[in-house]
Amino acid sequence: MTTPNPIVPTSPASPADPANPIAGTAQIFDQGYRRYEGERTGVAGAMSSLVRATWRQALGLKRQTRNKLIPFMIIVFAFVPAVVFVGLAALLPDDFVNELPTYVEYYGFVVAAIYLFAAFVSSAILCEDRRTGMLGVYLSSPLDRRTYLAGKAIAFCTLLFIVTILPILLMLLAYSLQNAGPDGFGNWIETFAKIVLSGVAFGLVFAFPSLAVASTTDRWVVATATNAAMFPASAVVTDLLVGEGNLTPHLRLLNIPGLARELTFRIFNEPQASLWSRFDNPTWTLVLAALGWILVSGGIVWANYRRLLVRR
Amino acid sequence: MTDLSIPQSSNGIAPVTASAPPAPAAWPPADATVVAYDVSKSFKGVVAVSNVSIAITPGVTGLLGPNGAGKSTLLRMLSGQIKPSSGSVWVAGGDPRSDAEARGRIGLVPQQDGVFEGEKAIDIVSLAATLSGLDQPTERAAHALGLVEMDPGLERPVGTFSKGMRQRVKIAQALVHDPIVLMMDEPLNGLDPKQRRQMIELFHGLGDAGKTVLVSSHVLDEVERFGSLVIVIAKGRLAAQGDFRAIRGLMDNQPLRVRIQCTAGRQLGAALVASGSVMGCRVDSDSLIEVTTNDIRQLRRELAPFARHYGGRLEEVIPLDDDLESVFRYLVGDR
Amino acid sequence: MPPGAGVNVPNSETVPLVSARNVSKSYGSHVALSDVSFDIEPGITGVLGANGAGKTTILGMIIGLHKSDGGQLQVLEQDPWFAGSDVRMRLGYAPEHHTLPPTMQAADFVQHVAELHGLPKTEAITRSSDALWLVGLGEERFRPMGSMSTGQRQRVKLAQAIAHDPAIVMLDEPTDGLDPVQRDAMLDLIRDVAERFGISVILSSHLLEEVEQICDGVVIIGEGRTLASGSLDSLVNSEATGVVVEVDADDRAVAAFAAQLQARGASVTIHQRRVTIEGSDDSVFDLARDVCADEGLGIVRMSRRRLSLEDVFLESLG
Repeated sequence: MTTPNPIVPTSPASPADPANPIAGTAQIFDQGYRRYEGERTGVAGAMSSLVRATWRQALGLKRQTRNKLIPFMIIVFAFVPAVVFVGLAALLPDDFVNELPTYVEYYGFVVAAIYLFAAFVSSAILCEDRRTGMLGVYLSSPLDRRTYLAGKAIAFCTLLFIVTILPILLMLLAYSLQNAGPDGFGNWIETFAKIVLSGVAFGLVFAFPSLAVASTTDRWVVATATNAAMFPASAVVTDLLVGEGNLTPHLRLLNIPGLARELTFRIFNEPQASLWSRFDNPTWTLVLAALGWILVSGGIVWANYRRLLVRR
Repeated sequence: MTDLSIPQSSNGIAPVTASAPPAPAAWPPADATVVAYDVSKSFKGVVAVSNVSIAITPGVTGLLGPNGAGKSTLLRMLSGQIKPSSGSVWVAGGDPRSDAEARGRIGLVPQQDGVFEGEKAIDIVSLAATLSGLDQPTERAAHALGLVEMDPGLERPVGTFSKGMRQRVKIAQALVHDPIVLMMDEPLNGLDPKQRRQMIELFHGLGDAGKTVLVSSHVLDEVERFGSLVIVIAKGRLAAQGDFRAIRGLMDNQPLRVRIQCTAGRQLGAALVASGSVMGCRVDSDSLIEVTTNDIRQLRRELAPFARHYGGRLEEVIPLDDDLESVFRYLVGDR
Repeated sequence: MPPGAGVNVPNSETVPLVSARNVSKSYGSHVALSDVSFDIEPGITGVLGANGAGKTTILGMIIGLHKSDGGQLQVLEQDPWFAGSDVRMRLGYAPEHHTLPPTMQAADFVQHVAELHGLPKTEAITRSSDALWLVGLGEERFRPMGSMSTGQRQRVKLAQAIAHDPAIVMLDEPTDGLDPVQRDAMLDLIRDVAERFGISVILSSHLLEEVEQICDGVVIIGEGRTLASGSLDSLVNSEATGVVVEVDADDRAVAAFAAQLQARGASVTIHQRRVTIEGSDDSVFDLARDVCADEGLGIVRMSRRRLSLEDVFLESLG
């Protein structure tokens, strides 16, 4: 914090001066803009500021209410089922609690909210910067294209984890309080770890393709719509090709929601319950496919930004 | 005397003359091509322009005013893009809103850049010709491009043009149907100094050729070069119209200040005070004085003989507030 | 050691803030810069150039966005390409375009840019507010920028460029879109920033009058080369000698005045009502005075002949 710099009076009268009894009782301060001699936080500080600003941008924080509407509605959608299940667990007799969805099954209820969130947020954080000249501001700061994109990706993934991890952790917590959670501390920790891991995997598989789409245009409506259509389309098309077209089942690896869900089933080691996509691939191919999505999408983003002419 | 009128204004500016508003017989002048009579415009109850009466004659006229003072609104009314809330506009023989023929005599150069980035200049201009219903649009387009000194045979798309060249294409578009009146909104924005100079020469050429060229601009040094005729809009009202030097002459309550550097500065100042041509004289040093005067012509005449009388070398005579900038500041109420 | 501590703000007059030596840059077959050399000293420096002359390229290089193909560029004693982040941390930049994030409040925006340039959050908050007050937007600082006028946006752009207290601030067309009164206020502000706070300003502008009004130094770039650079005084005062007199008379009387001068041996040129009398000797002043007195002509304006920056600019373009 800055402290006011007193200006030393040009002719300091002594307080004891009998002719001037109020001398020494007043000061004039040099207020307002001044030089800054303190430390600078460097690229790390710039990144952290970028990440925080991106969170606010995506969620409409420190902006007018209408900018908060869409992101918070989607977040609410992602949490509603969890709240309902927790409520049911509290109200229903113990026998019925076992009938409630398991943690991993939760993704089935909120997959739409998650990909809508990914679609909306990715375009809000990438496209807007290009339209508003903010990208030019970033690139004339200590950041460069690489650190800018890294900061955006970090901010975006952490935001996605709000909807992929938090609702399920909420379920875990509530079930545990009602003695319906995992038995024993070891199991509890294991479940906790699985929830976080599957949330991360689930989020990442959605995050990068949606960033790739957003990096191709500076119109966020187009990017949001493309993304929102792309995820279900990848499921439907691959299902049709494999089911009706009798093509190789490996094509299912291109089904983004399916791949994401299958990864979570493998992490929880539960038999998958999904009707619409059946994966027989070994787990390592799934991991490879997920990594492939991330790398290819990341490559598209980088290719688009590397050559992007920035308006200054 | 020039065609000059400072209306009795109620916009907070003290009226600089006691003369009555222009008499209907003398106004508008016979050769006026653009006339607005008592034009007002408000948007949803917010007044943008009130009670403006102007007449513009062939030649180059600068349209000035602070941001938000109603300049663009006035320009849009004069070009028929929007309808006045009250009052009437007459351009080259008719009301540009109801009379298609009158509208056809207006060429408008908007501030925004065009959208046909991928097209060639000649194609864009001939499209404008076709839209105006002209025969032989390509020939007309080539002619218009010639007027702005551009090669009609250029194969490059407009998207690759410099800002100066794009501006010329826009002007050629506006000129293609040979309008009588050309209205331009900030046409020099983004141009470099050389392009600016060429563009101003182009305006002069068009004005000399008998066209009425109305140019809005924020850069007063530029407007001084357009010529001396200006229209100043302030706070939604007409603040002044005419030759800016004559407008300056009407600002009686604003005495002119002149800085004089002369080796016999002190004596020169005393002599000027004694002769009554200056009201005040500030002596900054033995050789540098600043005088205030209400009789600038007498002061100017006395300078050389007085300086010679005292054996002083006259090194510098700089009027401090006779330029368009001072006139503008006075009229927009920032004194 | 905090990042950025390696950047020394030169305080001796011997080290220029920016020094370019034979810098060149090509994009494929297009030569953007062929040979650019100049020094930018502390104070306000105007960078001028025809559109497409390479001005944008060299300004981009100063902030480390492009690598030069040849030559040497030093900004704050570092090569901006290799020390881009460190250099940019001590630079402020106000872009030419007026688009700013419309939903963001001015205070948040300025704070964010200050944080990007290395200020800790609490400092950034205080200085954002100080900078906005300085540019005259104190009471408007919580407004979304989408609701601001061009004049206000130009001020926000200046505030965000100086909030982190840069050593150099680069302003691209800072008066674009401003009316004459706003323009003068902006120029006053820029001078204030340079003189009161010691921030050096690199100003890119097309308005030579404005550059002439506030700049100490000038760099003129044309066709990928430095056409002229140095202090404004040295550029406009070089070679020009003689006196320029504008008399209060009609064209005929002006011609007669010129004829009288010529009769007394002076070499004169007439441009409208301005008569230029050549001569390196100061006796031309006496000659002008005497002829005016003899002819009874009023002197509207009289001054030592001086090139305008426009003369310098157009001449350097060839």
